[in-house]
Amino acid sequence: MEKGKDSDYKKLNGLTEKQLEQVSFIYGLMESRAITPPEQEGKEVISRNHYTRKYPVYEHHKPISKIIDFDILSYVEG
Amino acid sequence: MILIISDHHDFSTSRVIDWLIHFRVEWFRLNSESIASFEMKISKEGKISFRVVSEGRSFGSEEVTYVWYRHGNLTYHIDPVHFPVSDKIRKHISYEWKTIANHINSILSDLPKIGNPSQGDDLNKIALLAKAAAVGLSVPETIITDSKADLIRFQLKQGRIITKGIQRNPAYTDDHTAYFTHTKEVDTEQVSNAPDYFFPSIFQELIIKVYEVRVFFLMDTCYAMATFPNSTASAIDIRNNQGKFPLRSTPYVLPVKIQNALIRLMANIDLNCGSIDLVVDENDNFYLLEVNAIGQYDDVSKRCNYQLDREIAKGLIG
Amino acid sequence: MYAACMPVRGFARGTICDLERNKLDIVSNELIEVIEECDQHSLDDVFQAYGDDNRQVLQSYIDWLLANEYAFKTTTPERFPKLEIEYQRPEVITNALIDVNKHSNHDFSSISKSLDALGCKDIQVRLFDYLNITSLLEIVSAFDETGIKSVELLCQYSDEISENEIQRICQSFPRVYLLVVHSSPFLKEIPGRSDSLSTMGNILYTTQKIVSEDHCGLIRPSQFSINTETYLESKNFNSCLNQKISIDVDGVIKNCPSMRFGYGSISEISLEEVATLPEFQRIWHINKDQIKVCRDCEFRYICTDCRAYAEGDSPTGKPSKCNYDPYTATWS
Repeated sequence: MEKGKDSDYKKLNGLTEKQLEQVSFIYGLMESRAITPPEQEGKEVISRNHYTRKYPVYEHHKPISKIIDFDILSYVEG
Repeated sequence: MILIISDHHDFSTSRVIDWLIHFRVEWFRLNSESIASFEMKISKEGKISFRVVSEGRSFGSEEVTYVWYRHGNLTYHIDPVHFPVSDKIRKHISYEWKTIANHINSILSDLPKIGNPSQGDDLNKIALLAKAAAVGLSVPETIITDSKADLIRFQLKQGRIITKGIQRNPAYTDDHTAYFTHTKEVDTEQVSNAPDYFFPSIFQELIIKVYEVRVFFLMDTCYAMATFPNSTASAIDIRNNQGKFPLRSTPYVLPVKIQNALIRLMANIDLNCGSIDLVVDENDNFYLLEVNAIGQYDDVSKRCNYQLDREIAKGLIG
Repeated sequence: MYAACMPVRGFARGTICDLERNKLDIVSNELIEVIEECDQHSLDDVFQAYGDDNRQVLQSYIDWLLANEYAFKTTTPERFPKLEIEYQRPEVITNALIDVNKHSNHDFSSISKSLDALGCKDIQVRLFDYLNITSLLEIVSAFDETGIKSVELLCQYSDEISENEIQRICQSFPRVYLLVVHSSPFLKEIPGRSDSLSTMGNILYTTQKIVSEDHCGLIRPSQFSINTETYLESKNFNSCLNQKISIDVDGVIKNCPSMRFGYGSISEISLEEVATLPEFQRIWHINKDQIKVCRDCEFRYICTDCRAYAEGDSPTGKPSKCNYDPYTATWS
């Protein structure tokens, strides 16, 4: 994350130093960060007027079965 | 039948519905932009009722017993592909629909409800500061000014000061970059570099917080969670976490006089559900930061095990 | 202490379970005793009670707790309550396990409907024998248009199914949380798609041969779950079987496919009927504090459990596949 510089919001708005007076003080303290472009949208999940969400979210916090011996796996990068 | 006005993406709505199913009560989820068909009848005696079809199901106004205003507005979906209209026509249609929507809300407003359709996300923050003081909460010394001279005076008097957006903190995205702002400290150098006049901006004395309290307020009960900053940056704005772990949070019980102050405040703005952010300084003063009519409560609920989905469901059953 | 930092006493030693940051620290029971004292009395009183001899040790404990952000100092302790231990879910069944081998004949569409009606949120399907890609797709698609939030699939490796096809399963069905390809000639992990909330669509190729339910019941530190939800569930209920239902390879409905006792075939009795039987739900209430040996173990609330393969075949016996001895604090 870079600290916001005048150049950041000027790039946004094409403002000059003089035009600082046109915006509130907080604009001068704006920060920026690079974002990765959103991935291709997945299928919509719809059910009985109940769950409507593009990506279901895994919230189950415990293993359902303990059949995979994660100890013996050596994870390969990539 | 419990009517829930929400939108497609709201996950908490689904969880509350899980509880409504558990309690075996009738419910209807009306998402924004999903009214497929609508009918309103005005009888000879002046009785008004309506019927809505949405996502393959329908309900009538006389069936509704309780309303939860969770998210979004009632919008009538005008398909731009099958019904391409000029801007003039679109404007007229929007206006006509607003009249209808307002009336739907007033019919529903006689019913018991959680939330309030007329309090959107935008509770006026300036007014809120005044109301906070009126109920006995502490308020930081605040000015809104457009003059550098005023600002210099304020800084001399207060010492450390901060600035932020008055109502909203500006944020933008373009293709590759996200621009955003937090509450930030303003140092003397920045003040001396400022032009003589600028757009009216808000400045407040810096409150060094010991911890911040997020309260989910539901029908006069305060469900609170305290969050501890781990650096100066997060002591100024809790969203500015510089560490690799999320900040520590823990369940919290507000002192009774603060709870009562919040109950009075929420009654004053006619809101029975929402989230309230407070800051506590080393002298045990409680400062109001923000009130949000659409409270995201999932974090507070999970971390403190308050079971808020269940409590909201119970509230809707009455 | 921050409420999410749970001290747990074991026989020989204890743990601090950091439910918020999902990590664990092994500590002495002495330290836990200090924590308990500080809960009841002010810091000054505790120092006085322990006396000057212990001052240095006591100070080092306090410093350690503060440095690790397990505890904080306050002048208003009454405002910081402990976490409510209650655990309640609105669903009848929260998770389900379906086993399939080459002789199985499950109607996935009907199973999916029943599980959805029970409110089930997470499902694991274990395919012990090879199934072609069309059958795999049929199984996963049975869970479309339901309230089920995640599906895990275990399938057998075959040259006939390419890595691309495996990846396409995850891409076409956003419900897939994990796809494990077992009996594979190689090890490979392909992480899934992340958003701010979770990562779905993880793929794992493992050389482990998973040919039947006998392989289940492992107790390993790699399976520990250190989070608020599982901690609360473990405190109140059986951490494996609570609100779980399963269908074994022959279509028999059981608490888990490794249990001997079945409640009838899925072709004769519905999942809904079985799930609501008091006998079926009885085992949900056997929590770790009732299980021999486990009740003295410092890992008991973050561990998984296994009632099917238990010592002495007893409903309250220690899981057979657990190699930890809490009395000596050693893994064998």
